[in-house]
Amino acid sequence: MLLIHSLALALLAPWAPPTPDAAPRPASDPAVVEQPTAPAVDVEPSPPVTAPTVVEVPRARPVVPLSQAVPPPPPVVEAVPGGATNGTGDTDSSSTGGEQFEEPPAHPSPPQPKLADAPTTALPAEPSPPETEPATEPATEPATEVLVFEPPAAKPVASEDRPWFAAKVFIGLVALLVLAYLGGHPAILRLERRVGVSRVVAAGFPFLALGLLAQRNGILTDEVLGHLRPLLHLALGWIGLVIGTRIELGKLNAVPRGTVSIVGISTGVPLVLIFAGCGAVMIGARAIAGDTLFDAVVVRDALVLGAAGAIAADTETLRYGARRASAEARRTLVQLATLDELAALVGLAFLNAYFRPTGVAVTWQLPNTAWLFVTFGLALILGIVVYSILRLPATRTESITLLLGSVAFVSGIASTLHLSPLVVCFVVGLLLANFPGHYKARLVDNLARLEMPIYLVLLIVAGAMWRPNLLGWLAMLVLLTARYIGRWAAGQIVWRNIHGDLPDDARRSLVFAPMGTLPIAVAVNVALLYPDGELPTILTAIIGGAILCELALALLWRRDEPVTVTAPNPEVPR
Amino acid sequence: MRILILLALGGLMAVAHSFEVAGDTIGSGTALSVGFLILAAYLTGWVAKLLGMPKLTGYLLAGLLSGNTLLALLPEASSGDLKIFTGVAVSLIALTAGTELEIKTMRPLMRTVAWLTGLAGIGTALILAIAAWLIRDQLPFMAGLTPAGTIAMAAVLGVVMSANSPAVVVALRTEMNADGPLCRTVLGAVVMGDLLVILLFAGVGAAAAPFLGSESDQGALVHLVWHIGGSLVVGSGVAGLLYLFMRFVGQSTALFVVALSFVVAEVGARIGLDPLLVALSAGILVRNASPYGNALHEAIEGSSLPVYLVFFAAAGASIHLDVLMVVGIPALLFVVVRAISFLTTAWFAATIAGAEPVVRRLVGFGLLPQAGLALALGLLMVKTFPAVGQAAGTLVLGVVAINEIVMPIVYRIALLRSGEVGRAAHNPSSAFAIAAPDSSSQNPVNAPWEESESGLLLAELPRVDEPKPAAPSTAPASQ
Repeated sequence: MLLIHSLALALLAPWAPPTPDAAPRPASDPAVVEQPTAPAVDVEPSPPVTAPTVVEVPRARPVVPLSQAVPPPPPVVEAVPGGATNGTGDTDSSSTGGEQFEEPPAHPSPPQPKLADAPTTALPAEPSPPETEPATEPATEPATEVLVFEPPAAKPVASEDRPWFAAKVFIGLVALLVLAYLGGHPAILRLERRVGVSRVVAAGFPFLALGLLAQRNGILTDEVLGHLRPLLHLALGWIGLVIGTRIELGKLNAVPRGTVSIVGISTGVPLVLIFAGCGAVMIGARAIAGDTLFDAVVVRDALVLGAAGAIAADTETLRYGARRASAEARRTLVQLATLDELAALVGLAFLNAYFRPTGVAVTWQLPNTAWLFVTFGLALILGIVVYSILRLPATRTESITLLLGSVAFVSGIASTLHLSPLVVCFVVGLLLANFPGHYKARLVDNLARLEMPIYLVLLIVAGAMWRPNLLGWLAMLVLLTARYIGRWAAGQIVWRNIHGDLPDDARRSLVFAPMGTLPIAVAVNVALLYPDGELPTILTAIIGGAILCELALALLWRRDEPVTVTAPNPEVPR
Repeated sequence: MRILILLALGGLMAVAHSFEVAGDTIGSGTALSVGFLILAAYLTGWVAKLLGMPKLTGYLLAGLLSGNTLLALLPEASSGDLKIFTGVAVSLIALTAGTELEIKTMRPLMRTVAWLTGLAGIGTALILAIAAWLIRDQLPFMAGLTPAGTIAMAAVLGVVMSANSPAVVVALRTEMNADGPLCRTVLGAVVMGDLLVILLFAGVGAAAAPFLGSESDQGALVHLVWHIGGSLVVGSGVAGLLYLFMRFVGQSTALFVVALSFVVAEVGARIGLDPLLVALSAGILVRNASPYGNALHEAIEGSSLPVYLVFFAAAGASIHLDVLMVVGIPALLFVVVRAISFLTTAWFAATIAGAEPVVRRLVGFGLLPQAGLALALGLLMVKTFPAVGQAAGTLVLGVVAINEIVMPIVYRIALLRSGEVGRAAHNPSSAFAIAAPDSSSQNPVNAPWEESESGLLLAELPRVDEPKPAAPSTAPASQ
C-alpha cells in the first residue's frame, strides 16, 4: 500500500505537492524498514537494499486461527549487533503479527505470508488497511485510486448464508439481553450474596461461555476479534487504571508492620511453585511432542502463569471467608489483596521489559533494563498529561468522554511501544489517585460506572479467544495445587516470623483467596503482547483456574457454620 | 492550558510514531488514534467555539491537522480501522435521527418535507447533472465517453453530489440545543433526502452501467430489495431488541445501544444491509410504536459526544487537501452550483408547501452540509464504474471536502438567525448510565464539576441509573 501510495503520488507530482508520508526516510537510518505491500503489487521493484539493518517487512499479516497454528519455528533473525538480547529467543513475531523477518533478496519480490510457518496466535493482528488491486491502469493516467479510502470491509457473507447469519447474530443478542436481565434480577443478586460468589465471576461466567459459543458459531471469528483488538487495549487500560486508583499511598502508611514481607512471601512462594510446576508440565508436553524441551518461551509462559496464578484478589469471596473477622481485620485483608495485585502488575512490567521483541524491525533498540525506565517514565509523563486533562472543567458527559479518550490514548501509546497497557495505565491511575485536586471523586465514579461492562466485554472476548486444550486443563490443576500449597506454606512462614494482627479467619481467607479477574486480564494482555506463546494452555489454566477457584471456595465457605453477620460491611472499601 | 495539552498530545503522538515500523504500528494504532482524536477534537472544538465557529468544525480541523495530509500524526495503519468507529457513529446518528422523527409531531411538517425531498432533492440532482454535462470538456474522465455515456456519468455524478448529511444536522442540533420548525424540517428533509439518494443511485447506476463500460447487473433488483427491504426488516428486529431491553432491563441503556450499533455496523456490512437504514427504521419504530422513545433518545444523547468526536475528527483526517489541489476548480464550481440549487429549490418547495417564513428563508442552508453518505456513494461509484469511477471519485471527494469544512459553519449561522438555538429541553446528561457499585454522586466533592455549560447543575437532575424502569412517556424528547 505504501509503495502504491508513493508511486501514485509520484505520478501525481505535476498535479499535487508531495505529502509527508510519500517521502522515504533515508536508507542510512538504521531504523528504516522498507515495507512492501502485500502480494499483488506488481509495480516497479524497490531498489536493492544494501544496508544491513534494512529489512523487508511483509505488510500482510495473516490471521492464523489456533486450529491451524503450530509451534513457533526456530529463530531466523540474527542477533542485532550491539542491540538488546532477544529475550524470547525467538523471532520478532509479535511485531509483525506473526511473521518472520528475513534478509531480503537483492530484488525483493513481494513476500507471501506462510500460514504454515506462522507462530501460534490467539488473536489476529489488527486488520491491515485494505489491499489495493493490482495496478492495471496505464501509467499515463493519474493514479487517483489511493486518494479514495476504502473501508476495511469484513468478509461479506455469502448470499445464501445471510438469513442464517443474521438469525445467529439475533439469537446472540437475545442471549446477551437475557443475561443482562438475569444479571440484574434481584433473585440472582440475592443468590450471589447468599453463596458469596464474586459478582464478576458469577455474572461473568455466562459471558465467557457466550464468547466461547460465539467463536464456535463463527460470529466472533478471528477477523472480528482482530477488529475488537483496540477495544481490548482500552479494556485492559481501564482495568489497570481502576486498580491504580485504588492505591492511595497515604493510606499505605497505616498498613501493619511487615506488610511488604507478607505480600512478598505470600505471593513469591506460590509464584515459584506455579512457575516450576507449570513449566514442568509444558516441558513434559514438548518432550511428548518431540519438540525442543527448553527455550525462553517456556520460561516466559511459566512466569506468566506464576505471576497470574499467585494473585489474591479482593472479591466478595475473600471477604466472605473472613466474615467473622472484625472490620479492621477485613480492611487489612483488602489492603493485602490490593497489594498482591500491585505485585502482580509490577511483575508483569518486569516480564514485559525483559521479554521484548527484538530484531532489526524494532526501531528502539534499548537494553532490557532501559525498558523499565521507559515504562515508568512514560507512565509518569502520561500521568501528568491525563491529570491536566481530567482537571479541566467539564460536564459529566464531557468528563466521561475525556476519561475514555485518556484511557484509549494511554493504552494505545503503551501498546504501540509494545508495553503492557495494564501496567502503564495502572501507574497512571496510581499517580492520579495521589496527585492533589478535587477530581478524584468524579474519576472514581466514572471508572466505576464502566468497570463492570468493561469486565464483561473482556470476558466475552477472552471466551472467544479461549481454545480449551488438555494441556491447559492439566496446567490448571497444577496451578491450583501449587497455588494453595504455596500460599499455605507462605502463611506458615509469614505468620510464624512476622507479628501480624490478622485473626485466624482472615489468615485462612488469605491462604484460600480467590484469583479474581485480574489474572484473566493478564492472560489477555499476554496474548496481545506475545502471540507466539502457549496461549491455549495459558488461557485454559488461568480462566479455568479462576472460575474453579471461586466456585470451590464459595462451596467451602458455605460448609462453614453460619454466622450472624452476613451483610457486607459498608466500612470496608471496595 | 488546553493549547499546552494539545501540544503535549501531539508530541506524544510523534514519539509513538517514531516507534512505528515503516508506517505500521506494532500495537493498537487504532486505540491510540481514537484516544488522540477524542482528546484533540474536544480541545480543538473548544478553540473553535472561542473563535465563534461550531465545535464540529473544530473536530474536523483536529482530524484534518493530524491526518496524513498535514502533520501525519495518526498511524497510517489505523486509518482503515477508524472506519469501524465511523460505522458505529453512522448507526448511532441514524438511530438518533429515527428517534427524532415522531410522526405525530412531524405530521404538520410532512407536506414541507415531501416538497423539499421531491423538489430540492431531485431538482438539485438534476441541476448538478446538467452542470456536469455542461462542463464535460473540463472533466478529463468524461473525455473518452460516448454521448450517452457522458449523460449517464453526469446523471450518476448529479445523484452522488446531491447527498445531504443527517450526521452534521443532528450534531449541530445537539451542540446548539436547538429545536423548532426549522430544525425539524431540515432533519426530516435530510433523512428523506438521503433515502431518496440511495434509491436514485441504485436506479441511475443500473441504467448507466451499460454506457459506462460496466456490465448490467441482472441481480441488481434482488440486491436492492434485500438492501432496502432486508434493512427495514432487520431494523424492526433491532427495534424489538431495544424495546425488550428497555422494558425488562432498563439499565445501562447507553452501553447497550452503543454495542447494538457496533453489531449493526459490522454485521450489516457483512450481509449486504445498510446500517443507516437499519438504525433509522429501528429508531423510528421505537419512537412511534413504543413508549420508550424518550428513554432511547436520552441514552443516545448521553453517549453521543465521544462518537461525534471520533466520527468528525476521522472525517477530517480523511480530507485530502492534495485532492483539492488537483480538482479544486471543478469541485468549487460544483459546490457553488449545488449551494445555489439547494437554496433556490428549497425556497420554492417551502413556499409551495406553505411553510413558516423562517423555514422558507433558511431551510436550504440545512441541506448544504455533506459527509458520510456522499463519500460512501463516491466509493460505490468507483467500484461500480471502474473505467471512469476513480477520477470521478476524486472529484466527489473534493466536493465533499469543501462542503464538509464550510457548510456546517453556514448552517450554524442559519440556526443562530432562526432563533431556535437553546430551545430544546435540556437532557439530563445520561452518559454511560451504569449502575455504579459505589456511586459517589451524592458526594458534595462532585459539586464543582457538575456545572454544565448552560449553568445547569446536573447534580440536581435525576440520574438515569437509578433503579427504576424507564418511565413510559409519550411526549417527544425535544419538546
